[in-house]
Amino acid sequence: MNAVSCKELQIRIGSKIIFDRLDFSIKEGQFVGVFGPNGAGKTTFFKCLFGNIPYSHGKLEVLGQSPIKIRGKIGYVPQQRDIFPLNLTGRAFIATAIRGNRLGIPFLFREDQKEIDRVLALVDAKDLAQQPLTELSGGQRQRLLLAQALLGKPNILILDEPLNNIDPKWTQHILNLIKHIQSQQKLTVFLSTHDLNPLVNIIDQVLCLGNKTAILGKAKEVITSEILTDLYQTPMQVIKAENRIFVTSFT
Amino acid sequence: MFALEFMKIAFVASGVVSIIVGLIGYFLLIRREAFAGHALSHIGFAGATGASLIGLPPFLGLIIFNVMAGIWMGQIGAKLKDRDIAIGLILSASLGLGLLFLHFYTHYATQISSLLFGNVFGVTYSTLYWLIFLTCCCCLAMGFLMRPLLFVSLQPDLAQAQGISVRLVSTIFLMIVALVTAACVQITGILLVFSLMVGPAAVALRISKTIWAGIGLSILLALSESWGGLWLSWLMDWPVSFWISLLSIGIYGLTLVFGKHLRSLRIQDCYHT
Ligand SMILES: Nc1ncnc2c1ncn2[C@@H]1O[C@H](COP(=O)(O)OP(=O)(O)OP(=O)(O)O)[C@@H](O)[C@H]1O
Ligand SMILES: [Mg+2]
Repeated sequence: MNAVSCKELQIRIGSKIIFDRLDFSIKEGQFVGVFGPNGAGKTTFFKCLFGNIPYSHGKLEVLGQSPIKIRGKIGYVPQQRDIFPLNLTGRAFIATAIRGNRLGIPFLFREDQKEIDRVLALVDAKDLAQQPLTELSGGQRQRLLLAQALLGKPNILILDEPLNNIDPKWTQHILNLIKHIQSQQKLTVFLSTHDLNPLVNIIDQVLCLGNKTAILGKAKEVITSEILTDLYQTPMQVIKAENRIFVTSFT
Repeated sequence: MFALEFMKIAFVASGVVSIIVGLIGYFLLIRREAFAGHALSHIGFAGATGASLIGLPPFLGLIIFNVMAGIWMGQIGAKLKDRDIAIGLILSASLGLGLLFLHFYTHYATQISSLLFGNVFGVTYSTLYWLIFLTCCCCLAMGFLMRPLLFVSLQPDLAQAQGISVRLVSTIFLMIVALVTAACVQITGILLVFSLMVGPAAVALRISKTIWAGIGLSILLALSESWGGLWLSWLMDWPVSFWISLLSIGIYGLTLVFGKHLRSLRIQDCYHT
């Protein structure tokens, strides 16, 4: 089954057209890097996938259904992630997402505790979760947010620029973690980034967004000087060496 | 002390109100809406004085104005950058309006003073029943709202991704806050609602590590501050609201100084252990 398929898809915010005539489909179980300049519409595209931004024209199917119906099957780490400097433990923080869309008092059952234990084990953060959020570093909080996104066994994981402000060592660590979880749980992962380099050997496909369109393909085919120059609308140069891709702008 | 009828009523009234105020205060602070809570109590001033002017009970005017302001604040949403400015302007406009109403309504200065600074010893049986009713309604509403409210407050984007209307939840919450401030005014008066609503919750937030420990501690502190205030005022014959505000800032100051040590006690409960 296709995780995502778009036909003639148009996405608008107000009267502003963000994407026009998107036509592609992505198979389940793929690790997709989402790439594109600021304001290209990465976040907007993600929000469209779980139905927060309605599309204005064409057809969008996620897991074979309309976006609103599969909300529970998508795990999401939003781009704006200023966790408050609260004194709550990571575990208490993660727990607030459990059945958060239902009315009631946030009591946790034994199964809920088990579910929290499961996701914490997945990201290897059991000890981390006992500490107050105020005492964690950005990278450590990132792991907790990943754990929170994995609650309820989603089929699709959407990570909006999870590697911002993370040093190269942690970046590699977190990416390996995501890759491991992805292959273990057979997830479809969308990960947006401004730096494709650490991702090149991990991702299956790149979705390049920009200039109201999208181009999908293998990293080596899609990331070329011509295509990027087109998307960024500024001269771009791509240098490829030893399984690495360096993207620079001429200016 | 409890031989006196008005003492008994004062204890029950402030106890009942403290429970809901402690609960609401905790969520206000988690949502970083302390200023909205503060403003809500003051906006009611115009309602209360206006109601007196046309011969209605001030409590009623207070509730109506507060709830309207609560709905309005929920609608302008947290995304508005100048939200605090908008709230502050409405707040001073409504105080100005209150002043105008007072200008026409020259008698009953004591009533105004009890509105501003509270008069818990003047609570009648009928007011007491109203307070109990209001508290029950607000507790019930919070019982339904608590789970999405917590989610929306801590992870707004994630909550929205799961189809929760952040604005709706915020608006309902602020309506509950409006009712609770109206109830709290009966104990501490308009000017000192902040003491009882924010003081205990701020302490709880600083030293607790789980939601339930925080809520429990917030309620417990609100209860001890209001009952402590009553007791001290019975001993010394100084105003209750004064003692409550003093206790509130005193306990907050102590946690600022000794908070580190308290935190290392690792206050936890069965919720997450
Ligand atoms: N609420 C909004 N109202 C109007 N336009 C918006 C709104 N949100 C986003 N846009 C526009 O939509 C476009 C895409 O924004 P989006 O946030 O999806 O970009 P992005 O690719 O995620 O950028 P970044 O890399 O900076 O996160 C931008 O041009 C922005 O101006
Ligand atoms: Mg973005």
